[in-house]
Amino acid sequence: MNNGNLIEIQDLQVHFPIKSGFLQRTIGEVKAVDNVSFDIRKNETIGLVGESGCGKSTLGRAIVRLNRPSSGRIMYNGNDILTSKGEDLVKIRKDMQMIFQDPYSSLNPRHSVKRMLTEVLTVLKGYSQSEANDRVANLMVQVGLNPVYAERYPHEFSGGQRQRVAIARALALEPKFIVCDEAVSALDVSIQSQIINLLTDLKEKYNITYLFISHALNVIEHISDRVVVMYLGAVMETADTNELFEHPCHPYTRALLSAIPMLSGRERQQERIVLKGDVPSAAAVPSGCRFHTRCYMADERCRTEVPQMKDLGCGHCVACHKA
Amino acid sequence: MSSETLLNVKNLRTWFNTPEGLVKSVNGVSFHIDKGETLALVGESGCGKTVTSLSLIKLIGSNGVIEADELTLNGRDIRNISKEQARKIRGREISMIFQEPMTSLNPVFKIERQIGEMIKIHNKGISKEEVRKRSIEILKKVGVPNPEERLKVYPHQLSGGLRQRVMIAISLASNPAMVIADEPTTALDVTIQAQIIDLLKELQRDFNTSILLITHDFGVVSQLADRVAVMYAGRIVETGTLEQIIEHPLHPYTELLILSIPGIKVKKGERLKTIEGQVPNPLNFPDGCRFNPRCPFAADICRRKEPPAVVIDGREVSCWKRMEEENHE
Repeated sequence: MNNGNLIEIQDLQVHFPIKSGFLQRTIGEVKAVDNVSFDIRKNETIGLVGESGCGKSTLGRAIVRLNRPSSGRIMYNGNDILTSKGEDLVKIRKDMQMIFQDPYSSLNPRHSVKRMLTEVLTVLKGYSQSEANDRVANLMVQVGLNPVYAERYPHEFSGGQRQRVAIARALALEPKFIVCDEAVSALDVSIQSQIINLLTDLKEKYNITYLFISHALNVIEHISDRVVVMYLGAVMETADTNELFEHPCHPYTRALLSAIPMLSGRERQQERIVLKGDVPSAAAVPSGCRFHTRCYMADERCRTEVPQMKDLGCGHCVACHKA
Repeated sequence: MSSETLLNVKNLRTWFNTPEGLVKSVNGVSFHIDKGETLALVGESGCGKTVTSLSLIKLIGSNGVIEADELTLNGRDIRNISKEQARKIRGREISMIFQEPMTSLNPVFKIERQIGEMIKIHNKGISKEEVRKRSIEILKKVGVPNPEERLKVYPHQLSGGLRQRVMIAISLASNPAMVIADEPTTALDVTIQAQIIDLLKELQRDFNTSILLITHDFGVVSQLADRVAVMYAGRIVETGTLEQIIEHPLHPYTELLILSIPGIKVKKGERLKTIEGQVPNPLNFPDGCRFNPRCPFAADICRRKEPPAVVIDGREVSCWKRMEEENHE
């Protein structure tokens, strides 16, 4: 495969059974990710946005194989991640890392930074203890931590520093692809910008590809090259960041963008579209277009017919009858 | 908008005795809120914005001490009121909307009882039917669909947005003069956040309520606030109108804070500004200006002496550098 795609996601479905009663019979399914397809190109940052419960984290976790998809394919450099086993899988795993939202719960509180990092290096990279020690110091410098803190435990760091440790751990294996699941959401604004800048620098230095999952649209706009908008488990619209923020085509994207409180320096703010109601349950996805219950443009066709992904040109794809 | 002052706070200090030492969470905070006005108290976590608001209604733990040179509500001194009087002020004159509606609503009581309680307390001898009628009215006002049905459910049966609406209904049940909204939309999705912001604006217009908005989100501030006070490490560093603060911040902290948020003033592709270091530990605030260890302009005087609040361009700011520039001109 030589089309510049690092990852290709094809018709991915992640369904979770709903079990109930004494026998724990399956009485339904939560379609957390439902027929999602998109590509991630090499060296790009792809932003994944959507409201809580839209399946963005489930999708991110499925890519690094933290949960098992029900069907579909995820191709990484031409290999199917989902069917890989043994050696191949270990190889793929080394290339993929994840940074979680809350660094306090994703770092082992009983391991020092040094132990956390050397463990990965000795087991997966086959480093000797002294090689690993050098590399730990090197990694810490790269994420902006003083190497003298190597013996410290997670609770001895502040939130921003802890997130730096999590980034160091993700970097230890020199990955090609990192999933950042709300990686800056739990941080204070002044710290948030430090981490965003760090992630951008590392990308340039090591040619890393990011899948950046966030509900914060301003962060997504700042960091991503392309954006994927999800709603209730399905992709609504994908486009280059500028294109998406300048000319959103899906009514959901429009509503989402107009809902971000905008400050000065931008003329985008026309009328605000305020959506009525809440996101429906993923266990009972509406018929037709899944957004029709909240859509201000919905008509009969939207209620019955599922809209297909349309390419509007220049990689701007949208799933809407009205676009 | 009338310019009648509702709340006036001068030199508020809230200190806590903890096993680790004296924590000066709020140390010399002064501001005022006019009737029908929204003042936003903005700052990072741990800067004392929530403690400031809780101090106003005396909702702090027994290890806390609240002192102020002046604390008046509608011209009445509320510094040394008894617990009984404080309870009367809470709800009737100042009520509160909390961040997480799931933890601030009682999970074992139905919505009807929780709204009704508020109405009964503030209207002695009211009949049951009247309470019910008013509850339904209030729920309608805050935009809860099928209010009759919703009265009979428990909080967990409602979505986050509806729960926050119920929370707002409860805080408005007594028609208070001022509402303290502590991160009212932080736990909500953006589309729901937009609904709640609209609702707050509408209710403010209808009831001429003053709002003390507490948040770290400049986006929410820009949609709701008339004036903004920026807090850092237990003090207000700058106060001004919304436009002044966003467009022409005077204090280096405010300026850097705004430049560190993507999408406000930083264009895409530009590098975000950062504020080096961490928010200081309240047990051990730095000497002089509290922002000096992180301030790129810190000079000798900043490390030695705390800057007083001075009025520059019609707004208050505490910064030695600004004062100096002002004196030169």
